[in-house]
Amino acid sequence: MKNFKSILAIVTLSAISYSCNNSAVQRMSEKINPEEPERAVGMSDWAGVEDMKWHIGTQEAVDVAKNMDSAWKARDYETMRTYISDTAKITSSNGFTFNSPDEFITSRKKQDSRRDSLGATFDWKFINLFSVDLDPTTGGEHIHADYFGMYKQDGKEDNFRIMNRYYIIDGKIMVWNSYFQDIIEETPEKETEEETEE
Amino acid sequence: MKKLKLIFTIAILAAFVYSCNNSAVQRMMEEPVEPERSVGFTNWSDDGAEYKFHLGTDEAVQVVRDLDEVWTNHDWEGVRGMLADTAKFYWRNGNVQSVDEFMTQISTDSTLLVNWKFNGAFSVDLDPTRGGEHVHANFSVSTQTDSTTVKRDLIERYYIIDGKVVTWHQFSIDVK
Repeated sequence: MKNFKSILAIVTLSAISYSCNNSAVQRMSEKINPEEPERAVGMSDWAGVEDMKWHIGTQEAVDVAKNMDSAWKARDYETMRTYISDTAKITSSNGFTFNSPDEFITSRKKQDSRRDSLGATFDWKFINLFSVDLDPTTGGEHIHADYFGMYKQDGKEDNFRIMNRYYIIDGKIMVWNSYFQDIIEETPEKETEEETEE
Repeated sequence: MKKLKLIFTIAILAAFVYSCNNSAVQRMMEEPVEPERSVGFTNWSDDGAEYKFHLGTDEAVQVVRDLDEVWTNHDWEGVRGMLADTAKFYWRNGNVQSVDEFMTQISTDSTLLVNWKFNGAFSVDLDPTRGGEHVHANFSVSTQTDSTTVKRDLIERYYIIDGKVVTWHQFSIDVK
């Protein structure tokens, strides 16, 4: 009976000791893995989402823009079309909005063909690509892609910067707005002057 | 003696149980804090490393909000105070300006009838361990010259270090 009491005392004390410390483990665990939403910054004044801030988006949405770019570079119009929603709104920097994705693709084909016939080239390189999201709990992300564009014709070169903003839902582009920044080319005369000055 | 042995055994056992569980607490404490998620890519790199974009901070966004406020109020000293001395400004039409040229331009432009609405802003950061963030701000702008009103949406990208604008890029899309 005495031994039994001792065993009971030992087990009870051990249980209390374990239990106390285990709550500490649980508290730590809750602290380390809090189920809080991801950090968000900034502001939005868009109707309906005025109270929301921006989160970082996902690689999946970024990949849509990357794949779209690869298809465009390869003039793979069919693949390009698969990344664009049937109801997409595509607006170029001059404000022209295409009535349908097919109209946009047709326009790309025509422009590529026209450039080829003129012996002109239009190339570009990606500078930055990322995605942000106002509400990660609902579909839709805003991908920002900026490029350095180079147009060459008759030995002349026209360079510019483009910032494309895509709104992508479920792997399809819903809105595509193309923002433009011109680059003023240095004239050969000016370059010569600068070289002389140096 | 028998009781002392018992107390001793209980104490050792309790200490052992506590110690085992306490190492679990320590392990949890030592668990490395994972860096925040990042996405995308860039071909900017000053050290050959490949970077992705992290979310920036509200402090950097606030700089742009404050700048917008002083600009709206034509507080040119306030604007100047938020620009780094070596700042460069890239306008949508290709003009590249120094701080002095930029200040002259915006204070002259203020005589035109220009209205804008600040639609939103966020900040991204390639390397949160170093200073510098890229704040993207969206504006709807309406410019009236003579009898013509031109509407544009702008994305302005500010590179901000220590609360000062170091580089400013303006991109535009016409609104029809």
